[in-house]
Amino acid sequence: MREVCIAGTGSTTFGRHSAVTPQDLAARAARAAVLEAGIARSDIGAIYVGNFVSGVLTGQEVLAGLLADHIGLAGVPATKVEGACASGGIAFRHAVMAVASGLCEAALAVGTESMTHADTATVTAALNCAMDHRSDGAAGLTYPGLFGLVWRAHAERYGTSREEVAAVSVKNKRNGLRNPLASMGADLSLDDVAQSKPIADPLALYDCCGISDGAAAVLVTTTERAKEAEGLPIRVLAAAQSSGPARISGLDNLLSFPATVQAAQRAFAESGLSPTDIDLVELHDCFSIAEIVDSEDLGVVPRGEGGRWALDGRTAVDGEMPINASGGLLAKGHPVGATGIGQIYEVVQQLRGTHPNQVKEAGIGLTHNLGGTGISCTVSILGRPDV
Amino acid sequence: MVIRRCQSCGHPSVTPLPVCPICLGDTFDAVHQDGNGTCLSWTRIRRPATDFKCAEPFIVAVARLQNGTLVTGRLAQAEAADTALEIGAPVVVTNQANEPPVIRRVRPL
Repeated sequence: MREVCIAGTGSTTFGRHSAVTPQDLAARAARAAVLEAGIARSDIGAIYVGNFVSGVLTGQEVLAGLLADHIGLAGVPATKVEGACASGGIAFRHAVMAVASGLCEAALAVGTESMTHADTATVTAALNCAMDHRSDGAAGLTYPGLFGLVWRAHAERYGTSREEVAAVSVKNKRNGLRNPLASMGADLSLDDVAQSKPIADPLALYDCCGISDGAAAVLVTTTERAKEAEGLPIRVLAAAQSSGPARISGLDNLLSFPATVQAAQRAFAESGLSPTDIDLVELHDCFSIAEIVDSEDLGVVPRGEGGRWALDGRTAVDGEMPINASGGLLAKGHPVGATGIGQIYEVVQQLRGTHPNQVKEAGIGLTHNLGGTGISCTVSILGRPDV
Repeated sequence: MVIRRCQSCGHPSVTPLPVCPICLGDTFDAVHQDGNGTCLSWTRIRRPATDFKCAEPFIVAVARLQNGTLVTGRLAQAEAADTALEIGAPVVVTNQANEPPVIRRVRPL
């Protein structure tokens, strides 16, 4: 396999893009990534588009073909991939494989989603398409509900407190204030989070990521070709993917998502690195408690201590393991199919040293994208060329 | 409650899956068992999806049956008004064809 680099990146803001189609958002992000990479479009041999709910919410499918058409790449194999909220991460991994295998010289990975035009109950039903309708979905469970279950189990097992969980939201919402791509940043107190409107006990409004529109794109190519790029090329050290239990009954407990554990193990094996080598993490904080469990599953925080680390500032931008310096899903919002590529975008800016909420001496970054009730997951590790 | 058991390897499943994930067997028996278990966790759904809107708010719980299997179900409607369900408390799970499992608290005598 050849070494692969990210040569170009692009992203719309995540938030509200009224009356803009998901394919148009994708085209804007893809255009920026192609121009930044400085690569001839004729070198692009594959397009992968991550998207989850465009069919249900907008009635539009074939987004990959539409994107190819919109950016003058008709003729190039264009594939939409879907793995619930991990769709973007999966698209990235496939683009990396296309270049690493030698099948093409450059590939485009794009994630896109339009959601804000629909009401909350309709979006909740669309997201529930990622649940097994014969088990958890049939019981009326929602995603906030799933993480309400996880929270109670975590609190019972490890004594995780309301303050500790709220500390994740406070941190990420504040990080988001520094990120121009994030539209849901806020300066909140622990009490503001705890006192916000209840959604799925014990989760309240500020424990939940917001419904969002947005798109992000990266262009991956060989190390050789990446030298022509405008910005510093970033090495792809691992792009791992896993699948996990399709329903809660497939889990041993509610304290861990096996798909995250497995994808992380694969990514560390692929890169030859360990959690202590990671300088920053962008992980799937769809809910405040999710960041706590994810950080433990990835092995970047000791098991059971995710909440304590957040409250003690150890996962802050200047902490020993900065998590979601971008503001994460909690402050950027979660345009579900775009999120995984959005995380890659953020880590690339960090490793280039150009992020608006810069982590000091960022050499190696990790992204984690989780879908459904833990049915799909990707973990990617990126590195600066000089580390 | 009624669960399915793979005729080839005996693997139990609450969800009617087309193929046994352990041995790929495709024939199953319906087996009656008592639904005794304990509450593993619960949440009150205040913002349901469209199909569940009339029922809000309701409680979804996860029970661990005595054989270790986890079951996701709705807390019986009559009990949903009570304030809290304790983790580890004994519960009984029942289910009917084409209906999600229903979880009930076992009250001390």
